[in-house]
Amino acid sequence: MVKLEESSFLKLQEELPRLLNRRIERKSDKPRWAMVIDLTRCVGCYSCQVSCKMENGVPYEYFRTHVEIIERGTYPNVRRIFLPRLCNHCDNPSCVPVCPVGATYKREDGIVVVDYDRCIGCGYCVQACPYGARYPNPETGTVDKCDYCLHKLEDGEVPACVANCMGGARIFGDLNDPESPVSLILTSKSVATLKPETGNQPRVYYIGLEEAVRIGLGETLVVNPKIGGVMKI
Amino acid sequence: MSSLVWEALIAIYPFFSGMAAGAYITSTLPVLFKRDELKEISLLSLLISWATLIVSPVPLLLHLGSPWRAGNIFVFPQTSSPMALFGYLWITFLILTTISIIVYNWFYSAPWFKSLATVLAGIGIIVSILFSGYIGFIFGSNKAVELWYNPIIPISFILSAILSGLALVAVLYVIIWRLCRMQVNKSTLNTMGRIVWWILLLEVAFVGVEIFVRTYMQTAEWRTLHNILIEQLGFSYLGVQLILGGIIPLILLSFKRTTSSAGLMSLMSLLILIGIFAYRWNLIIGGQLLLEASPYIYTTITYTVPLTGHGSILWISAIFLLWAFLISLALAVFSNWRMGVKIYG
Repeated sequence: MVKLEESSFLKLQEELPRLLNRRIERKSDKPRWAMVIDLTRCVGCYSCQVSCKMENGVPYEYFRTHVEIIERGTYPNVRRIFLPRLCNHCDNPSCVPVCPVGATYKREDGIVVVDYDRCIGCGYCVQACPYGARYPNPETGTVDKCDYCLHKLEDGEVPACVANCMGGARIFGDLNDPESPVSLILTSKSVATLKPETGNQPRVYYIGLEEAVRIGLGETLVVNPKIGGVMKI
Repeated sequence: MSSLVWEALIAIYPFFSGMAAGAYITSTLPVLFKRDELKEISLLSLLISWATLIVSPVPLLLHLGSPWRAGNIFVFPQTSSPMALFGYLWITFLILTTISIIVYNWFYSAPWFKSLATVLAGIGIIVSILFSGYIGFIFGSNKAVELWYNPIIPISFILSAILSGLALVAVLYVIIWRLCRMQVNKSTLNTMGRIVWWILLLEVAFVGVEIFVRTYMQTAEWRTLHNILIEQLGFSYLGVQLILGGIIPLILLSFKRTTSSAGLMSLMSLLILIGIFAYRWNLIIGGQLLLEASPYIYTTITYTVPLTGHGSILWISAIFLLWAFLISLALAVFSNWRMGVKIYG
């Protein structure tokens, strides 16, 4: 039986957050945060959705991030795809210029945030976002959205959804650091973004997106089967 | 999310602001376009515009998540946002309307009356057009909502604003004059009827062209939108907006018999007002009923106005009552509207 020395145990305790992918190393002075979501690794466990709600106190019926279920095909040739969604922290965000009081803005590090002390809760940004990533928070009277868990990021930790993703499908990092996991993926793998035609230049990238939603002749897509919907493509 | 982001309160805001702008434009017609037949209703139009203008931001304030921060729109206006224009346009418009009323009510015999009235009308007509056009721009420039994303909407909003202002003044002209046992002037009604008809023709043409082009293009979005407009909003879209508030007045107002009759003219104007309200409703509420369940799939939701609580029928009724009270107050305070053409003639 292997007996751990006390010092080894302490070292393990220190290293645990990093081993669990919870710590983030800042190598560049001006980071530009981005996320890659690997759809081939998402198992649809909803732990990102739940952990985000717990971390950020998101009210009942609202989400900063959620997982969509897309059903492809017809029985017996059916496949389910899990599509995690969140604010895309676009480089050309349509939510920012429409805010009448400048309460939402894009930071230098690429994160689109809301100034909760200035927001009047008019909902214009909610209407302008083509990704449906914002919601009017009934508890605060302001608009709310994902901010990559800014409070955790400033403490050197990754967002809650990344830390709690059991399949390792959410990868977070600095685009300005060539050795960060996101930079390595973007230079080595084929990625796609949602709705590139909007011109918003989203900064959440998906691996396996085209493969996941590619439909064959006569196939149909149904989103969140309980809600139902009409196929757009 | 269980409810709409912009509910009934937002739908009635452009209705009020449009009527305020349109009523002001009606008051400028004798001064700027030499429509002397409308001199009788100049002050009446201004008073209606003033009362409607004061009511117009009430639904907006009630809608805000943090109404106590509404002042931020004046303190931190972001110039890239069309909504930030609201505060400045509204204040400018209110000052202009107030000055115009004071001038028309008390200084109509001054030697400088005509020149000042012309200057005020010139500035006022620009502000009125901006005031109704910017709201159309808010919707027309929104690429995230399929039904709104349309460059025609700002123009259509300006036209329908003028139309609703004229129709409102025509209805109230007949009602108030009858209540005060005053003689309704047929040439005033005829002129209003002719202007209303031409603008209604343009408005119907714009809507018709839009429906035709979209139907011809047959995009997936339009097929879904069309289903919403027909299935969920069939009555208010086809029945009220297009037929009752558009086609029927357009046909009937083309006859001089309609525009000469106070009863028929006010009925047609009322139908137009109801049609424009339905237009705002179908656009703002209808646009949000098509929800993107995913980037690849659309879903539809339903919306019913609650009887009580936030954005309810009760709240909307209270706003309409406040509006009626303000119009009565304005008519009581600035009473020279009764003299009509006698003073401005």
